[in-house]
Amino acid sequence: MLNRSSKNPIIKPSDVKPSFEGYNVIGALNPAAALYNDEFILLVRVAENCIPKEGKIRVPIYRFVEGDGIPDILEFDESDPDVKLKDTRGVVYKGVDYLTTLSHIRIARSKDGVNFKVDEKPFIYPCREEEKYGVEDARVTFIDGKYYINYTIVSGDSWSTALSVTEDFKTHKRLGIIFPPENKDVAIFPEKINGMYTALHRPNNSGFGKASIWYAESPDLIHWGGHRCIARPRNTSFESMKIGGGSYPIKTPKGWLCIYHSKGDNSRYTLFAMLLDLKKPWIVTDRLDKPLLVPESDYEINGFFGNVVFSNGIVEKNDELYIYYGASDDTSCVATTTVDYILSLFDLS
Amino acid sequence: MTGALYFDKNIMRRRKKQLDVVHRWEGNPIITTEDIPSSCGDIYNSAAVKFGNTYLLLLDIEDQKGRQAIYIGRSDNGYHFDIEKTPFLSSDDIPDGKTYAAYGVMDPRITFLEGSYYIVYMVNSALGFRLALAKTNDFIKVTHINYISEPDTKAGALFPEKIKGRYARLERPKSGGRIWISYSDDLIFWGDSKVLMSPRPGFWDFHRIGCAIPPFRIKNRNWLLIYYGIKDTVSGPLFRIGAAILDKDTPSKIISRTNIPLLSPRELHERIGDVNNLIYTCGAILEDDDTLKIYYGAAHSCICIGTIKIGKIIENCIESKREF
Repeated sequence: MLNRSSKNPIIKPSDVKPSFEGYNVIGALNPAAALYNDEFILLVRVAENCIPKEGKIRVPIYRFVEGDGIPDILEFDESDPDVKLKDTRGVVYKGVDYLTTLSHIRIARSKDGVNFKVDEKPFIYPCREEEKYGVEDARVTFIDGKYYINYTIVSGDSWSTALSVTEDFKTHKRLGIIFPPENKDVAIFPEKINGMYTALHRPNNSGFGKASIWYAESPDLIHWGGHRCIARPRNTSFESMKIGGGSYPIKTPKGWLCIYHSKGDNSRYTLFAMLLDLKKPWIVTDRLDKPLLVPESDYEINGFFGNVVFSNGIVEKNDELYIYYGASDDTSCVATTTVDYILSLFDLS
Repeated sequence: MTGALYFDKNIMRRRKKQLDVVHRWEGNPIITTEDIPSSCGDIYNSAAVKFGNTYLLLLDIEDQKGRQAIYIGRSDNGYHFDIEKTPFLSSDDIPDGKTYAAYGVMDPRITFLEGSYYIVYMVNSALGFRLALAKTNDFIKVTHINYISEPDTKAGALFPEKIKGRYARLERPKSGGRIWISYSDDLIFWGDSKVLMSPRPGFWDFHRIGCAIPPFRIKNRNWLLIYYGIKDTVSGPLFRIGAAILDKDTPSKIISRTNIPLLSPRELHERIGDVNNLIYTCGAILEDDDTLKIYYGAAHSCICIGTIKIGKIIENCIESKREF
């Protein structure tokens, strides 16, 4: 069983201070997770829009100055002939696209894995043109004493994946873009396999088929290659649209355990699990028939974008597995279980 | 009514005006589908290299079934080519070709690097399109090195030398329509990806751009990049060719860029074919007198030659800069 915490959602938008006066936090979702000095760390995606003003259209923007991103608000009259509303997520002003919501990454800290305190200031903030529409959905992998954080960066070219490293969760060092557009849902394995760092990623082959999970290798975590497609969406109501990797794969005697998300009928997101061969992790040895977690609770069904559970953070502590997940694209939640329990599901499958 | 005659005269008059900077060879097209000894539905484009005294083309040819492969053409004079019957490189020749190159291999670009000829080409399948790398020393035997990108990305080309200690490659991810640059220590694993150059709204290269001819150094050691630009029109995408000069040490720094195309589809065989209004090149040969012989595909149906002095391209880049 996956035991949802009775405290869910454990982080809500109202728990987060905006990164700029005039911004409004509307999402505190899709947390990455790590254990650092016995403390639970979440890297929460904080989504912000602007506090509305009568007769005005206001959008958040970042100005990039000497490698730093400075938040600002662009304001224009509703009646301005240069304004064209696209949909609820975007507006065009003088031919340039703006999004009404931008995201950054914020740290939340906890002793028990359930009660979190959110930092006042952002941790990873957009800092260059390739990040002009925000940074989203981080994932943390602990390798050789360092925490590697990959995250989705968003621009007019859609999304790519960048990498940072930290040793203290106070500062982080940027290591560049590791997967150019369109690519996200990157899960880096916690150890080298066959002498190589390895990762799952999710390129968008949108013109052809449904987005699938790919595998890649790297000698140094910076340069990646050996890409191959290893898992495709199945023709089920759960996976009918696409699938993508979650947090880092967990090493078990039965293989690498990967919790992944799937987007199915009616755009519903659920969580699944698959096993990869320990020595040849590009081979899927088993895959659950039934989902691990489906949107059922009120906070998973109703919200900014309802019927969504999306996990990109896990913590293993004292034989317990904490699965952190975003619910309805606006809050962060946790469910606990054990690795053994998930492995037992494969026997039934 | 003499309407038809009047119309013809008008075309003749128009064609006398030189609208493009690149000079078209009077004998164009040099290769048509009828010149291909094997089954041929389309000729897309060609890479080009001078190998010893032989002019050598790597032609991207689609057989009548619909699968693309790369064929070699050889010539003593650069104008009349003998084309081989069997492919030099096809999806049958590469590992997992049935999976990743089911629709074929295409768009080859040759770079002479550290004594060998490297060919970056595109593979296409239901899993998307992406880049692969092969190597040859003699254009007889070819070695597949690996697939070097994830999908969807195209128009890949290597720089002919290392930049600040690393190999560098250009590519055009589908999303965004920009040219990106990535770096590698070993040609297999690539990273540190950045945007190099973007389409220009309101210009001939409005919507999408990509590397056409692999970049090469000019006299002041800056890089000359000949690229293709696409403007979407009411009758579909319009493909043209332009150039940019990149900084010698930091190629992502654009020094200048042509405001007008160097070559646009104008001749009948460039206008009309299986894909209309398309010229696309993957390669050129630089002659000793600084003439660049551009081998370009036209309308997916034939190969043509265009010539231009390097100095003229640079002049155009610099002139364009003065406009701003």
